[in-house]
Amino acid sequence: MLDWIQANIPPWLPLLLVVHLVVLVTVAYLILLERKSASWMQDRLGPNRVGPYGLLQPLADGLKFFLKEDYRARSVDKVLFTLAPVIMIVVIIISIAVIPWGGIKGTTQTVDITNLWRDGHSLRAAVDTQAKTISADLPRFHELISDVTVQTVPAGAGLDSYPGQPTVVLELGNDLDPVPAIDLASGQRLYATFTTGWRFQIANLNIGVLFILATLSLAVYGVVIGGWASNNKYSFLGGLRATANMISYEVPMGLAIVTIVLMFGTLDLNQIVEKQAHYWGGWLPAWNVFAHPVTFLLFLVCIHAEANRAPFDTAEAEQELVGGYHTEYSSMRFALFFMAEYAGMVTTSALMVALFLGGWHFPGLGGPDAVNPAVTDSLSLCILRAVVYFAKTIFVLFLFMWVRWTLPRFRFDQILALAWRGLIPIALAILLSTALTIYFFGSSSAQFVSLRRLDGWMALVMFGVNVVVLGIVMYASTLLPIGPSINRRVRIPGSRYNTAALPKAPAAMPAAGSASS
Amino acid sequence: MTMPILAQQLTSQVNSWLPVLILLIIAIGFGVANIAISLLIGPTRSGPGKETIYESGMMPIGDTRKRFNVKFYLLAITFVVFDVEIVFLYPWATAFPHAVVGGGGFSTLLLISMLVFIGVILVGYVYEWGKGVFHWD
Repeated sequence: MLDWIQANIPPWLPLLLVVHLVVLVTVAYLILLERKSASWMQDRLGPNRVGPYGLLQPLADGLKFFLKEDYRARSVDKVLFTLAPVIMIVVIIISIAVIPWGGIKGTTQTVDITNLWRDGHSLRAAVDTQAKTISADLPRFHELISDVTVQTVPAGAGLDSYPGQPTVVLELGNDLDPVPAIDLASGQRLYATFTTGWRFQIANLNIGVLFILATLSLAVYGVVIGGWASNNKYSFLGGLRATANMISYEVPMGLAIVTIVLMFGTLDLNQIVEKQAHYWGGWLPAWNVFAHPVTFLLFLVCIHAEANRAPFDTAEAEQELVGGYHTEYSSMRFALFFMAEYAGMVTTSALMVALFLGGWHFPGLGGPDAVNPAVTDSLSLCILRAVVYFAKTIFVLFLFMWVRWTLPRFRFDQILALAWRGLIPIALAILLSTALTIYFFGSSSAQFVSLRRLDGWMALVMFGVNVVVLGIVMYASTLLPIGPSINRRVRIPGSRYNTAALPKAPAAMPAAGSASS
Repeated sequence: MTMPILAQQLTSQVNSWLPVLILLIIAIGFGVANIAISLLIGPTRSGPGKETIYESGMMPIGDTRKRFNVKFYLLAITFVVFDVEIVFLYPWATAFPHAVVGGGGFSTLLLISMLVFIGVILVGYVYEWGKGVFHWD
């Protein structure tokens, strides 16, 4: 039975179903967590009637959503009104697909390619030939991972010396990847380490970061279509505000992600996580949050704004706009909007864990091979990594709750000023300084050259550059004028904007009786 | 194994997008089924007052789809410029560390071209700042 499953069911299929269900259940319980944490912060009890400690509340909520009337006013745009929540939930659900939950389940094999190299004296040709041989007899659903580690071993030494410094990491199928010319002394051997197996991930796209960014941007359509189709003034204004909010913060978010991509030169989330899975100075995990604290904070702010949550929730400010873009929605159509909002938080938190918090990496969870720490032969280790990944995601999600119930709402002009006059200059400056740091220090760091990982010193430089650049930009922004106001103010007599004195009251009318006589 | 390299790469691309397709089908099914079930088992009662849209309990005044503040439009235009800029930065960012590691003058060329590119964007950014596009009140 187990053999039949391994032979005929691709490993991503059970993973897909499990992740999809886990995300849905998480969304349901996030709403309970939100209500519970809100009530504890406000010294209340929170929902505690349905089940022990209110744990069955999500079920009751779901049942209630189904049993309520799915109402649609006569003047709404009938097609778009239904389409908006469906778009929203669909793009958010598929955006979870590229999260790298647990590294690579597979094995490494080290092959002597000295003779292949001697045939043509081309390292790439030798590795490609060996790769063809290996991929010819792979089990079904297994694949050859594209990173190949090549190292020269001195004469007389065996493969035992393997976990040493690799000479170069080659990327299969990427002819643009530079390959240094090597020259073998007599007796030296050339070994290539290939990895075969499958990735513990739903969809292994080599453009993972772009995929998440693209799908999350599509969520704007759900908001703007929902706000417009409702034909309601509150919804319309809420939709406008939410759109402005989401697109403004997408720019610094994109720049923050480019900064991380720039360090590792890959868009594959698996590799981004794998390159964080080692230690600086022997004890500090090489997570990007330590090397790039300012980029981390930028990204954190941006995902709060993307989710349209407090303190960026002017789009659904209850005091001004009733419910924002979903004022007209009820029953399951409203629930889809609501679920999409929380599922979007799960995706962005998971993305943040992958980019900054080391993904599945935690002391003790690395594979046996120090050069390819993502590779492990044990399925239970992969599952344990996925649990660790999920725990980190939950931590970031709790941060969302914490912020929402701690900070008051910003004004709308403050939100946009923060994005356009604050975060975008900082993000651009950090991007430029990171590029310069890599340009000047990258080629002199052995670990960066061979593995494209940051070593401790480079991380320290990155940290310093981050802090200094933040200081410079923040100081410079106080020197700049904020620009002229282009809003035309309507002068209303007596308002607080018009300090001119009110026109004189007319002289008292003569009494009616005396005028007639 | 006689497939040409291009066809092989194409097949592996299609294979890696298959899970996304399945997830897409599941997601669409989830959205549509939820709405359909609630339409089926939920009550439907209507009335003249209930058929109007919500406007704090009053009869709606005027039309919703009227002109709105031009600043939202300016913001959207600016966003498009910046977002396209970022999309151009992704391939650059993927290539740059490889070029630095590979050595030679290519990385200098990449760095300078990116500086020029961002400089061009910055000119527009400074112009908009001076015009007060980022100044809401």
